[in-house]
Amino acid sequence: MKRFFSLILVVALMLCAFTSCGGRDKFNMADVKSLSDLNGAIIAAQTGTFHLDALTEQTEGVDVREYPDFTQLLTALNSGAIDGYVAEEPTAYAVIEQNPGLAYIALKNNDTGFTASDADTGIAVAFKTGSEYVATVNEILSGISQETRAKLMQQAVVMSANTDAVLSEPLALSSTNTDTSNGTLKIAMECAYAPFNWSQLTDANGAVKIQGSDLYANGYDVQIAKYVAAQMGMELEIYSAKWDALIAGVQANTYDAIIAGMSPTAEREAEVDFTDCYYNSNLVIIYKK
Amino acid sequence: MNFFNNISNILEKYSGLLFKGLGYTMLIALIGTVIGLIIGLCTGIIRTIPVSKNKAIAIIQKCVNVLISVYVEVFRGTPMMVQAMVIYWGYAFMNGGNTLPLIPAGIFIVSINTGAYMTEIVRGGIISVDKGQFEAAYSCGMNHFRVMLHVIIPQVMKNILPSVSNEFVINIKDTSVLNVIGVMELFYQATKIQTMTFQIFETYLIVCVIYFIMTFTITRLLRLAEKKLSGSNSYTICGSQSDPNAEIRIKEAK
Repeated sequence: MKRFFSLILVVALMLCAFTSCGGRDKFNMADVKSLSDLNGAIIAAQTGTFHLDALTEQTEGVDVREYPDFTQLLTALNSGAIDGYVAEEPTAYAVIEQNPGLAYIALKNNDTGFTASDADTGIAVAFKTGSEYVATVNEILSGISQETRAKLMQQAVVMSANTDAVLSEPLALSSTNTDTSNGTLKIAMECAYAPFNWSQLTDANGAVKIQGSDLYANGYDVQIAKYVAAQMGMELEIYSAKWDALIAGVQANTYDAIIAGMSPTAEREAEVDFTDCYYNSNLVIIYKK
Repeated sequence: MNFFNNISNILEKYSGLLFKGLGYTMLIALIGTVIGLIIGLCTGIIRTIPVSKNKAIAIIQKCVNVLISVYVEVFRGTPMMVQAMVIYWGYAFMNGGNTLPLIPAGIFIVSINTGAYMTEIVRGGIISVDKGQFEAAYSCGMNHFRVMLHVIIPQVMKNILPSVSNEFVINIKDTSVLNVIGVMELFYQATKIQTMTFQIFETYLIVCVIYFIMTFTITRLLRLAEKKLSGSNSYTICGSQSDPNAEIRIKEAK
């Protein structure tokens, strides 16, 4: 009798194991036209970003996940753990350039997509509260036209797809000022958020050496940082830091500023001072085809 | 096949970073363990000083012992990752943004953390030495430090070697938590490589193998050292010059 029961137990356990092994039903992301169509999908966003807040607050019936960095979001998507993740439109271009199996839903802010103010989805330079540099940098940023911004972002996307290949045309944004007599400007970024900022092995396409590392940083943010530093007559130093350590680093004076694709949200505004935005984009959702 | 291609691509393109990370990991773990052992030995010697008859000195001794206990409890009772964050950013906030140089900071954090564990390991080692050894040494007129240096510590070292090598292997693996402050050890390099290749599984698999090779080699080497220290299993306890049959020989058990 005992043997019989144990046999039944083993069979039941094996059945349980087998049924749980089966993959879950895939959510059809291609048909999503607006946020309300996401009901039932598993969508992720990066921890500590506006993307995550928007996803949690503005969607219904979505299983929200969070991951600490961008590579893990991408890996989770490729492994099938999530149906999609929230990202900015330039990131989507860069990701799809490198992963032909992915696509993105081109949601428009305040229309088909997330409700967001310019402060939520624009990105700005952050200084320590009370810094006198904010006005100077605002003036420099206002001199960069919308066309230049769009062109530079397009170039950043191309460069991020193959970081070793040299761009056939000159970068859209460069400063002629070579004077660096006003000291150094220490800029922090993740160096892991293409096309805004990424790490590479060579100094191809005007990449800047990351302090205390063998790697070089490049991307939209790096080019903006180079331009800003040059216009201020300062020497640029780029530091790589984790997303969570960026604001703490500026408050501790370890870095002078953050140029890391960071949006000037109200919560962050309480901790640091932001300049005007140097890029504005839509929040989109990247998914696996 | 794509998988093996990815692996060989990573090894080819990023071997420089991996080797550098491996070097820093070994450097921090080795120096950290040695300094930790020295801290452990010092605290062990201080803690076992017999209580002085002089009231004032006895009070100082008591205070020092309390300080050592606090140090051990605090550093054993908190995760090294948290200690790294507190020390690194605490220093930055106190010094107007100047940060500690990364590699020395890493060595410092691993050292004091290992020191806390070593204090307890050495204490155990000293306790394990027979009381008669202390009594014999004291009755020869040696003071506490000479007793420790010439009689006790040599025996302690042999006894605690397995624990110390264990601590060394743990340190090799635990240096990986220093990535939170940006120390360029092996795990940190892996996090950098994965942001460039977007291949999490392949990158960490390579790093996993490297860590295993490191720890496995170290354990084998230290096992050899232990064998060497424990000496030959065949030896003569009592020799006789006239009668070979009177010798007491211990033969290696087969």
